Amino acid sequence: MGEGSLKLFLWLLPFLILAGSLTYGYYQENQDLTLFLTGDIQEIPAKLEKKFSMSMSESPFSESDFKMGEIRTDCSFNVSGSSPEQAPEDCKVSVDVLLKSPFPFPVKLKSLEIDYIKNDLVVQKISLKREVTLEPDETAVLTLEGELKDFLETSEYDRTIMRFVIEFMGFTFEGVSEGRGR
Amino acid sequence: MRDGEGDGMEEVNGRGIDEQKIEENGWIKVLALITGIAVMTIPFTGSWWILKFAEVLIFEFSPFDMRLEFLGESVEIPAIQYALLSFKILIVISGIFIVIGALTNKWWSRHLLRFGAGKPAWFVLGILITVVLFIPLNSYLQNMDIPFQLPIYGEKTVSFQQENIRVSFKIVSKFTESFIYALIVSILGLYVRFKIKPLPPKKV
Repeated sequence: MGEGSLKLFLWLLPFLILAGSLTYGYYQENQDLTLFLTGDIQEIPAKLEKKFSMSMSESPFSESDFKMGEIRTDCSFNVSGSSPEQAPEDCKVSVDVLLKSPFPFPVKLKSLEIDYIKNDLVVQKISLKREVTLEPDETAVLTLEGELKDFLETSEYDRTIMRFVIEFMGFTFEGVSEGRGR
Repeated sequence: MRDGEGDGMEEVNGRGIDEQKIEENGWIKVLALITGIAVMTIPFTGSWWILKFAEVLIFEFSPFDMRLEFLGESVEIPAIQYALLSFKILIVISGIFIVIGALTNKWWSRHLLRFGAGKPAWFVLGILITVVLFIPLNSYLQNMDIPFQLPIYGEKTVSFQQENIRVSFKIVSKFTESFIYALIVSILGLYVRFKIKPLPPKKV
């Protein structure tokens, strides 16, 4: 092989490899080497609609999604029978709240705070202390914590304000939702 | 009698064979050998550029491989996959040619070396051009009233308010360590190519 032939061969080599590879692909893909996307792409529009129509709508949570359980405290006196003055400053209470996930896919509940408001004053405040993953169609038990003093001061409220942060697929949704009083 | 004839000197294509051999410069051959081995490893080091749109769209790209994931579904473009396979074969062959060129001292060694040493720079340049093509895409997004732009490099947090919900997500676009590695190898390749000069014009 002369120098000229070698130069020509080296010049052509990238094109030969490209042509060879595409030809191989053409037969590997049953003579249908497409520039279009392949994979489970039929699923994508439905998934997209399902995920985003749910999350972009108004608040995904409503008060009716929550079922409050019994109030617990570590302090050594009866919660319902105690007067506010008896409650130590650092006395905490926790409430188990049952929440049925309104989402059709798993989401992380990063934070949740519920303020109970009477005469425009927060009379009770409970919040989630650790992140919870909400699975679809499952009822999660959330442990919300608050100050005992707040629980003792009221059993009535005009409205609730719920603040939450949820996360899925790298999107963070911070929302506020208002509920009715009792 | 032609030059070199009769005193043991061969002649190919009008030039003395010694003229065509790479100068006995030990260090450039060692550098070429190292570059050749490094060139062969380039396609196996992973993606060069990553674009992430929250976790909805993940695009990992190099001239030798591509991964596109949309809402957790893997998406492929067969024609591009096979084109990328050809680039992978080409770069491995380029590395092999550099190694052969560095280990031999024949008239064709210089050609193989020069062929192989320039190829990584092609791919590095190619990926930079591909990424720069995102700049016009940004003005297109702006025209469509989409409230964010794709960063060419870096991380951007996009937030917007919809009724009583604030939505935020991250867009990440970055060159990886593999790209830095390829860039270094391509610079080495260009240096080797520069040091191994093309042959002078043929004697008439």
